[in-house]
Amino acid sequence: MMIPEDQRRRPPGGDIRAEDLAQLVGNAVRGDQAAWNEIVGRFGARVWAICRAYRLRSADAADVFQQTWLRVLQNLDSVREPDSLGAWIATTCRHEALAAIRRGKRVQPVGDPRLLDVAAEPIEDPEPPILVADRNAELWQAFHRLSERCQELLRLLVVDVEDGRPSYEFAAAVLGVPVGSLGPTRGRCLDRLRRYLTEGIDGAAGAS
Amino acid sequence: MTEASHTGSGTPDDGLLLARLRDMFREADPPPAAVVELARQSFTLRNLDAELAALVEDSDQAGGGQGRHRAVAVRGSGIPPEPRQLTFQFFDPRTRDELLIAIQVEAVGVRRRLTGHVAPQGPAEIEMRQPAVPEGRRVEVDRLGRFVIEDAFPGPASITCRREGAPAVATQWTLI
Repeated sequence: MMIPEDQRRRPPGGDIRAEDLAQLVGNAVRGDQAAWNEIVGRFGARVWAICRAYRLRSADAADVFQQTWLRVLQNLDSVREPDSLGAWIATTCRHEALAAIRRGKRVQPVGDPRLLDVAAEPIEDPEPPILVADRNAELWQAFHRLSERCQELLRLLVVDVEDGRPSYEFAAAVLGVPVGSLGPTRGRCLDRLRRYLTEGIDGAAGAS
Repeated sequence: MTEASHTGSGTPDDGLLLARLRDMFREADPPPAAVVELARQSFTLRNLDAELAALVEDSDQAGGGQGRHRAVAVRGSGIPPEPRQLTFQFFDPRTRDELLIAIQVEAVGVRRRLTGHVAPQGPAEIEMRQPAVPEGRRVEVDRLGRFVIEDAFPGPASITCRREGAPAVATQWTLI
């Protein structure tokens, strides 16, 4: 039975996150659109972050995002451990993102050579986005002074977190490096980032 | 200062800085509202009564690990690159019912042509569902089990095969 969203009982304090994942999954399997909406709402940001950490541009990220959720929907009735729902959704997204990368988003044209894909472009707009928090703006500047490799690694490690631990295996697979090299590289990248942050503050203080 | 192992969490400062980065990306690059809304609406695309045919072969994934920057097909060579081949398989160990659906995917303009083949042969109806076409498109297979779908949209697609006296079988959602 479909329960309209405004009639769903919410736990005291309005914290929907307290709701049992098993119940959400069960309700969605039984046709409750509101339960599905809640699942998408809860894990959508993480799925998007994974797509973008794998350097998919907006259009491709949107495709992988849709594809991920459709696969989740298709397999929802075979979820064994609802508490690990987030991890399972993230794994599905990583799989689809890697498949998209391997595919190189190739198009095999019949008759129109203008449809051949062009080489990958950087995913980020050179203009910094409008960041409300000043500290995020500082961090953005400092982050973008890092090498491409450091940016890629840190982004992969931060946004692709399973049970509080980044998935080093997937990061290594995307970057094409041994898993064991990631820890030291991460340390060096973070040290450099800290230095740029400090320089930024010193620079601002000295610019008068 | 100790070297962070690949499974370790590094220094506490590392943890704080990583958390700041996470917050920054969340603010700088949130999922577009329209994209999230589409994901919610995809709930209507669920297929209640169909068995799942898994993707067992994808020519685009053959030789995986070639790296992130696949070579672009050579322009002007006069020889079109190989079309993409997909194979989906359903197998029920209880009934020994097996269904194979092979699909060739070609780009035609901005759309896709799907040329399919169902085995074993027999009368069957094919329905293709895509987010762009929620009502689905239906074709019958010919006497050799073949079918063609023109003008499919790029993006996620699932093919449902319906046979008399057998469970409906839907292919794993696949980006075409």
